[in-house]
Amino acid sequence: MEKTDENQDGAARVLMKNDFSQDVTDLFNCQVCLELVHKPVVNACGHMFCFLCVHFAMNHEGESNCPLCRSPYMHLPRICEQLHFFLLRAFPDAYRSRCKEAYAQELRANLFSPQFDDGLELCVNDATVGESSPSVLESGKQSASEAVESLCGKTGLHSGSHQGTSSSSSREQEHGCEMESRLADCKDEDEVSISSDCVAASGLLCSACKDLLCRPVVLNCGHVFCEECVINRDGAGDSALKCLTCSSVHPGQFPSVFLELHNYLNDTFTSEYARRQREMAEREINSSGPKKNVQPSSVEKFTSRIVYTGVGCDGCGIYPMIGRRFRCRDCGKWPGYDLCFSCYESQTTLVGRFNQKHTREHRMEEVFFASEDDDLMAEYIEAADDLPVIDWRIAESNDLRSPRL
Amino acid sequence: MSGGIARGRLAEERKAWRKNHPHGFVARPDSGPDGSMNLMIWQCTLPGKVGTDWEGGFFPLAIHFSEDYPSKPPKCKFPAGFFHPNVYPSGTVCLSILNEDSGWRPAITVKQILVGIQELLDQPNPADPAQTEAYQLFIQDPEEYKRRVKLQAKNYPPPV
Repeated sequence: MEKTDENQDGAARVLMKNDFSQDVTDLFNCQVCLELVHKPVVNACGHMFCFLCVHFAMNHEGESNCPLCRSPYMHLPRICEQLHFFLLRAFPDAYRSRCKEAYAQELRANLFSPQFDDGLELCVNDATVGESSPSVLESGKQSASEAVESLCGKTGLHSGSHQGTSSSSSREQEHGCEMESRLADCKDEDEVSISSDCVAASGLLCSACKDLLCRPVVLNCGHVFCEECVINRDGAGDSALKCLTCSSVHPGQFPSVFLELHNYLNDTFTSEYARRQREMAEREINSSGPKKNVQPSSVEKFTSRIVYTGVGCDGCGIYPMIGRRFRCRDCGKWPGYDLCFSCYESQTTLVGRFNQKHTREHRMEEVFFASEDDDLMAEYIEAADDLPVIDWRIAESNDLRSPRL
Repeated sequence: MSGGIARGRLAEERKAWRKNHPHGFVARPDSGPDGSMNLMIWQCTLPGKVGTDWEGGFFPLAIHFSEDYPSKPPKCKFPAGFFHPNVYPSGTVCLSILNEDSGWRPAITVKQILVGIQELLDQPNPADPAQTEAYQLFIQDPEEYKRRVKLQAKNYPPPV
């Protein structure tokens, strides 16, 4: 028990070095709305914004530019869930109140961000039904130490010592269990240092190497890895960059290091992070230089003139959509569920960008391109002739008109 | 299509400005006759840079934000007829960071806009003229240009 207390104090001390004060949450501010980021997405240039902020900042008719550095991009990335959960645990009060605000904004825009299994439905219910559940978010301002306590408490770091500050839902507890097992893994090595407890507690581990993230990069699918893990991934160099977790293709440029998180890790887990960076540097020397042969799968260029203004792909997130467009007949009119040709072919089953509950049973149909411009139509029809014949699963059930007729 | 974040962002901008802003600058949301605040229009004052011909002048600037802010840049206006090569006769400022197609980024803050315009005052961009009078003088008659700038600075004395 004494040991646990020590750990707890240590953990609290390390995490509280930054005091969870305004300054720390400022690190995670979205540069578009200037508030704590909500449902963070990270562009390939390594800059983080709220999901909706990026969506609304995107160009409806062509290539978009990063709101911070203006580097061009075409895909609305998926939300970085790992960071979302981290923010929820690290800044429970601030993040929950942001979620409430954002939900109000989503209601106004009639456009909803994907919901995760994170107990935040609770907060949404509170906002709409009323203040019924005795949750943390109603318990007023938490002090910094309480924030740390609930962070560590949920991860089972010092079970029994937290005094009901975290009325965690069963889901959160499940999440905690996962953390606990990770923590147990650490203990197996008989080297439970204070910082490794905190590292595990933060949930900021790379899902490839299972160690503290080092020079984190975020892929278009929202998964986070060490830069090195992505560079050294299997089959590097021969094909497009694919996610190590969900194996979806990362379009566009190789992702830059997510500097806000890098800086946070460096400040919070100083010694651990230094160790990770040292190890990385050593490996680079041993393997005679970094295998930086990873080239951008394609330099993003808005070449196609077949553009569906204001429509995005719910699979890869390309916005606006180009080439051929497929729409779900069963997902409703707004915001609708659309896929680009390659996502249609891969039969993605991902939840829509705006939380549409699309399933494989839903019927898809091709939406034909229409333009007043005869040349453009000719171009489209010619391209369509070259394209492989697709499986017309719903061909008989609709009144589609082919552009060739 | 607007996410309706303009007002939220402007409220944050206001907070940040009150916490800290560069010396001599004023920026506040417009207030109606009934005392209500209009976050979408800000009345600002920017001081001419010390050590330049603009020193001593306190130039009024109105910033008009649209509902699409911060996806779209705000419009910055000096009084009509303001003497500067990059200011249109209507008073609208022509500056790359305020142009959606060239330099605007949603991450640019009100503070950066004001400091950017202050810089522009003494460092006009002759490649992008917006009015003939100031541009012609700037190119052809630097002495007269200088005199006009100083005269204008005198016409905008410090607020009391």
